[in-house]
Parts: sequence; C-alpha cells; structure tokens
Amino acid sequence: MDGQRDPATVRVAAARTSAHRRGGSFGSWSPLLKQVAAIVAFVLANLVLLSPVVVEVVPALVIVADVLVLAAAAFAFVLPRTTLAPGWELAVPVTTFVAAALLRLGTDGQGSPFGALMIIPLVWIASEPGVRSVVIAAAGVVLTIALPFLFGISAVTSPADAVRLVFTPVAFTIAAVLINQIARVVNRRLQQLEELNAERDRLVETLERANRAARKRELQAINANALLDGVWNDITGHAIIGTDRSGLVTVWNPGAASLLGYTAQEAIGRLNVTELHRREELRDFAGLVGTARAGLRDVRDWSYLRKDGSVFPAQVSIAERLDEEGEPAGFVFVATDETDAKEIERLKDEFAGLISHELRTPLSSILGYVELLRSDDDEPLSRQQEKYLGVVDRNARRLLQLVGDLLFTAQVDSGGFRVQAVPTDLPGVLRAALESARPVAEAAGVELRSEVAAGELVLGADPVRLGQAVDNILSNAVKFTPRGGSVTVALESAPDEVRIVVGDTGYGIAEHELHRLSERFFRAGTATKNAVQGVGLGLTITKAIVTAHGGRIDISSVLGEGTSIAIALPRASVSGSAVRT
Amino acid sequence: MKVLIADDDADLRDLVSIAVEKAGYEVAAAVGDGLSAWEALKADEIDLAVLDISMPGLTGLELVQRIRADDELREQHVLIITANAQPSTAEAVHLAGANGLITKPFQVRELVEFMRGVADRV
Repeated sequence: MDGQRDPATVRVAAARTSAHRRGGSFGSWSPLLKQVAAIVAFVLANLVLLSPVVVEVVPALVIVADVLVLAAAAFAFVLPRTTLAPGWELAVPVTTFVAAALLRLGTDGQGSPFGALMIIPLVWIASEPGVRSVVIAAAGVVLTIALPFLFGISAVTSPADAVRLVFTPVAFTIAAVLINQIARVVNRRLQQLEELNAERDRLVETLERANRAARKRELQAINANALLDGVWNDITGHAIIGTDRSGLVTVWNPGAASLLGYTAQEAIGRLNVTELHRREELRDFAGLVGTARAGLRDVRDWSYLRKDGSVFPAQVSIAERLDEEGEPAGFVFVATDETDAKEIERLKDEFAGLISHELRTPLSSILGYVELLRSDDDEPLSRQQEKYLGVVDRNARRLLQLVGDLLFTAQVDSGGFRVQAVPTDLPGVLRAALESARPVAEAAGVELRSEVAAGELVLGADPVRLGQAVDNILSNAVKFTPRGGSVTVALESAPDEVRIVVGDTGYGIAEHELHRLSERFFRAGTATKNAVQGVGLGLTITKAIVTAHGGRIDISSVLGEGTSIAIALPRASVSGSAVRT
Repeated sequence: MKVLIADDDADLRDLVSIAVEKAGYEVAAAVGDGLSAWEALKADEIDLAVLDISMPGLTGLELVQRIRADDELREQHVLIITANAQPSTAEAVHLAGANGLITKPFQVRELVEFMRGVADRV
C-alpha cells in the first residue's frame, strides 16, 4: 500500500477517468487511438487502388477522402490538448464517415469494394450514448448508400438494387441500435466499476487516514509515557508509594527510594507501608487508611522511619486507588519530607518569641516605672510632670500594641491562629468597644452614636478576638473622622447572618484603594494626607479574626462623605447556644 | 513574706523589688540567672519565687520543674513573669506546675495583688 498517496491525486485521477468515459465508448482510449483503425483501413484501400484493379476511380474524390481522414486524425490528436468540450470528439468519426462515403463514391459507387469502410465510423458513433448517435450513424449509412445514385454514378437497374438501397441502411441502423445498446450496458458496467473503484479509493483513503491517526496517537502515547517516566524519576522530593489493599507495596518511585532508603527491589512485594510508621504512632493499617477508605481526603503529619531506623517528619496524603471496574484496589501514599518546613516553622516561632521578648521587656520597664512614679502617694507629681509621663505611657502602649499586632499577624501566617468560640453576647461586645473608644472620640471631637438595641443576641464567637476586631474598626472610624463628625455603631440581624456596622462621616477612601485595605501595611491615601496615625495592620488583623469566625468584611466608602465597614458573621457559627434576639 | 526575684533584666528586677517592698514584703534575693535562683531557694526559706522564663543557666520553666521534683521545695509558691504572650507558653507554664503567670508588660498593681494572695496563704 502506498502510504504517502495524496488524497488530492486520487480525486484528480477519478475525475480524469470520468471525462474519458463521457468522451467515448472505448473507455479510456484517446480519440487518436480510436482513429488508428480508420487510418489503417484507408491506407490499405489506397494500396489496393495503386494496384491494377478493375475499378473506375475518380482520383479527386479519393484524395479528398484521404485528406478528410487525415484531418480527422489531426483533430483527434489536438482535441485533448484544447479546451473544447468532449462532445467535439464526435466530429472525428462523422468526418471519417463522410470520407468513407466519398471514397465509395470515387471508386464506382454501388460497385465500390470499399463500402464496408463505413463500419469503422459507424461503430464509433453508434457506441456513443444516446439516440442521437444512432440517428447520426443511420444518416451516415443512408448518405453513403444514396450518394452514388444522387450523383448518377450508379443507377437502380434491378429490383434487387432497389431492395439493397433500402435494406442496407435498415440493416446498418439495426446494427447501430445494437451497438448503442451494448455500449450502453458496457458503459453502465464501466461506470459501476469506476464507482466501485472510487469507493475503494475512498475506503483506502479513510483507512490510510485512520492508520495515520492511530500512528500519531501511538507516538503521542509513547511521548506521554516518556514524559511520565521522566517526571516519575525526577520526583525525588516526594515519595509516591502504591500498595494493595493490605498495605503491601506495589509501586515505589525513586523519591521513595531516596527519602526512605529502600530500593524498589527491596520495597515492592516485600515491604508493608505500616513498617514505615513508628509503633507508638500507628496501631494497624486500618487506622492508617480509615479516612481514605471512607472516600475522604486524608492529609496528615506522620513520623516516617527510614531503612536505617532514623526518623523524619513527613506530610502524607492518602487516597484509595480503584481498579478498572471501580472496585478498591489499594492505596496511594504521597509523602513529603517536612524536615525543612518544620525547621523554618521553628525558626519563625523562635524569631517571633525573640522579638516579643526583646521588645516587651524594655517596654515593661518603661510602663512599670511610669506607673510607680504616677502612683507614688508620698511624692505626688506636678501637673506638668503628670502630663509628660502621660505622653511616655501612651507612646509606650502604642509600641506595645504594634508589637502585639506584628506577633498576631506572624501567628496568622504560620496558621497558628485559632478562635475559641463560646456563647458570646454581641451587644455586650459592642457596648464594651464603644466605652473604650469614647475617651479618644471625645478628645477628637467626634460624636459616638450607638444603634445597638437593648437585649441579648448570642452567637458562638471568641469574645476577646471579636472585641479586638470591633475595637480596630471603631478606632479607625474615629481616626478617619474630622472634628465635628460622627461615628455610628449598629447591629443588624438577618435570618442567616448578623452584621456589625460601623459608619462614619469621615474623609472616606478612594474606590481604587478599597480592595487593598486588608493588605498588610497598606495605608489609604486619605490616611497619609490627613496624618492619621497607624501602620496599616488593623484591618489585616480584623479580617483574619472575622475570617476565622467564618464571616466576611464589607466595605463601602465615598470620598469626602464617609465610610461604612460591616462585619458579617454567619449564624451557622453559633456553637453551644441558640441565637436569641 | 520573703520573696525571691529572678530576672536577667536588671531594670525589671529592680522594678519587681520596689513593688515587693512597697507592698510591705521582704526581698530575700534578686538574681539574674536560673542557677543563682536555685541556690538561693535551697539556701533560704523563700515564701514566693518570682521567676522570668528566659534566663541564662536555667530557664524559669526548668527551674519550676526542678522545684516540683525536689522533696523540700515541692510546695514552693512560684509566679512566672514572661514577655512571651503566646498561648503555648501559658500552657507550658501551667504544665510545669507554676502557681501563677503574669505577662510583660504588667501593672505593678497586678503583681502586688498576686503577692497579697500568696501572703494570705503562707
């Protein structure tokens, strides 16, 4: 099979075959080839005429007949090279018919020995499809037979001549009809054969296409396998372990070999995955895969034992593996060495602890001695001294707050921040926040308004952390509101959530800055412009606290008109106590 | 009531000493490291040990563990003062067996109240 055969070539070949079929009944014969028979017959006739035969010859007619045959041959030669319609091919046998009639006329007419020559163009014409061909052929015969009588070369001298004059065209016409019918049948067969051939070509083409596609897929599969092999061998930081249902190792990647010290030969079919665990951490295999068996995602920290007995911390993800029928076939364990991660975590904690200690200790001294000075009844301070020490105390507490905030964000980063939810009375939390904000608000000339209704609304929340979140928003609102403005705290209750809304009539925040407000150390343009104190941690912390409660923060603001920040807490987070309003 | 103060920060050591004296109690010793604190506890009859956690020699937590394991000092009142405000620290202090925990910065008033509570018991 020619694998590279172009489908376009196949189509062109089919079209060419079809054109030949339309052009003649000899299938794919060219017009010149079909004309060869006539040329040969005329050459023989001329040779006969050159010999001393007893035939009256009109040389001019014979020469015209010869010229016509040659002209027809020339036309047959050039026809395929022109843009003329295939129907023009019929001009060749028609011309030949005329030549045969003239030759008969020029060689004693009725007595001519070359009357049979008309058979050649007759067969050609009659084999062309359609009644038209039969009519042309019959007309040709009548012309050939009648011409000598018309020109007076022959005459009807007996009843037999008259009969011949009528019977010969009739017999030839019947022959033409028969040839036409046979040609029609043959043509139809040929057409069917060609259609079958074309169909076969199409099938071959389809098959070749399918073969090429299959080959391409095979190559893709080979490439994918190579890629997978490469990746499989390159994964050295993770151990990928496959087991059967009992925990016996069936798959052991190079990462597993490098992390755990067993070669694939030592592990596969010999090692049970439970042998990688310390006895005090794991009782049995069922305990290890129980979660995965229940169809749940299981990612846990384990201590893994190497072949040499040493231990390292590993985060292991376990998933159940199913076979082709969807039945449990075993498990896949992906273990990551957590040694470095744990060390980084430890260093981070150590750093946070160190910073905490090193900053809090001097602050403790400052605040402690200020307290001693201010509470010394034996030596009371002057008003001015009291004022100065008040400034020292306030700034030391600002520093302390900053240290606390930094530590808090470090704790959130390390994932160590958890809220301890207990039944918490939200109006109580808001009232406490309002009270602690009141002195600062009064000093700043900002009116504090409460729209918190009397009564209880109990949610499961961490009262200390939630209080811290509300304090942050409230103190921000006061700081961002110029003298004469107001800050309103409201508690809105909806069926599925509770909203703590703090609105102010302050400077507002530009719209393009709203989405950045909870970014660490981000400060709004209006904060810088109006010299509002702060470092940009308040809302970061508030967001962490609210998120830990399963809630969200909604912020809306208009520059020059004010800002509204809402803490939305889901009622679903209620634990231990029903919500009462 | 006799109070032992152990803190590697001299200023804080003095601050606690002043608070003890202002409350009307006696400073038995004020030391800057864990081993000196241990020696002072063994040498003298101390009613309350006020210990920092982060100290050279022995940390405050190690000192509490040693006190609780010692036959003579098992019942010793111990107050830990630490600058580490992490919840894990509070848990460790509780596990080690300290009687109280105050985080820095603390109010002198808060410290005095704790000492009064101990004085009532001894």
